[in-house]
Amino acid sequence: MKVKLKAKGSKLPNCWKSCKASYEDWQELHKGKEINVSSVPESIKHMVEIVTSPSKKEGDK
Amino acid sequence: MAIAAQAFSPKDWKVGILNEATAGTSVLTALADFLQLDVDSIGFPSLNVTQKLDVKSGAGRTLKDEDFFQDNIMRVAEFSLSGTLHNDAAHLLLVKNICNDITNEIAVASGFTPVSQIYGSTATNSASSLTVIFQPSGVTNQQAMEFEGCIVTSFSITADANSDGGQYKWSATFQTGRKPDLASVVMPNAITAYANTTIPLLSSSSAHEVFDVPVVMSSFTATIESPGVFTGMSTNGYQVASRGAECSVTAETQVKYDANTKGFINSFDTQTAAFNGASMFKIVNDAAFGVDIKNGVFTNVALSEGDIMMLDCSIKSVDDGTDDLISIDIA
Repeated sequence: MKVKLKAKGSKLPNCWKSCKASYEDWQELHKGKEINVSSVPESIKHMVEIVTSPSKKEGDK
Repeated sequence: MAIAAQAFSPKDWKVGILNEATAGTSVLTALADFLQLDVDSIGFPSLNVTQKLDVKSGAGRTLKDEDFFQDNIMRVAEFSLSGTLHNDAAHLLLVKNICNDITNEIAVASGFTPVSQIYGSTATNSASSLTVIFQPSGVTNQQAMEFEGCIVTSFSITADANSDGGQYKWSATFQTGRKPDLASVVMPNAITAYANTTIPLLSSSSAHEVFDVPVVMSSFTATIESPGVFTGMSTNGYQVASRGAECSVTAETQVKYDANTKGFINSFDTQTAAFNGASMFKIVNDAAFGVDIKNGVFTNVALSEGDIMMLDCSIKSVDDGTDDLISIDIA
């Protein structure tokens, strides 16, 4: 799943390993980018937003 | 001789550390680049010289000069240092030494057997034998103290959310069976200072757990102890540096008394077997000294009265035959 910060500039705890992400990806997340993670620990759920891919509309290829 | 004018601040000294290629052989004489430890103050070492001051038979009830004896070879010198922890090469040498683990997830492994090293032989690994120097600002009017062949016999990390911004602190006890040089006038090539950006902080941690339940943690201390044993003899001191019968891992933590932790007192009182679960004690702090003790027993649980009711928990890690006694997340 993809996640991004709810509030830009907020500081996440060091738990990228629990999310199965890399340190480099974690840095990108802090910069406001979306990154792929395997899970989101309870302790940071209030700080990140799971990005859902837009559903396909009729006529989309 | 006229009196000397110089005066020095206690802060003029710094502590440098470096691993030895040959156990018990100083790397200072190679003018290597040492790494600086962040210490609060320079604690004076226990030199533990042997002195015989007994009154023997003779005229009068006085100690005769011919009866005095002192030995500074067959002794174990010991010193303790403490300060602010850094996730850098210098401070990692301490924990790598006592765990005999030079990987990036430092652990006291299940079934851990410490190394025994012969002074004068190739060191077991890149952290197993250390030279520590108490280096003054100069050697014209001061002298350095140099301890070679050191092993770390006790290492603690501690952090408190309510003091120093949650900085991790460390304390360590060193021992060496080699005769130290207390009048060293050799300066290392350099002592590379620590950076102020490498201090692990409690604020960057998450998922604090005790007895497998989430807790609101106030402070913690994790301690690894592995006593030194020195044997054999030579003109430079003991010949072999070994470790004692137990390498122990303990943790102390203060957590908030609440619905999650209310059962700890009874669990301590009624435990009949070690807890073999996911996390007897855990702080997730990736690459910043996160601590994980999977299996253990409570050695004490007690209420601690503060502004709110807290619980002091003491834990001893046990070996279940599989899991590490402790793993420390440094990278």
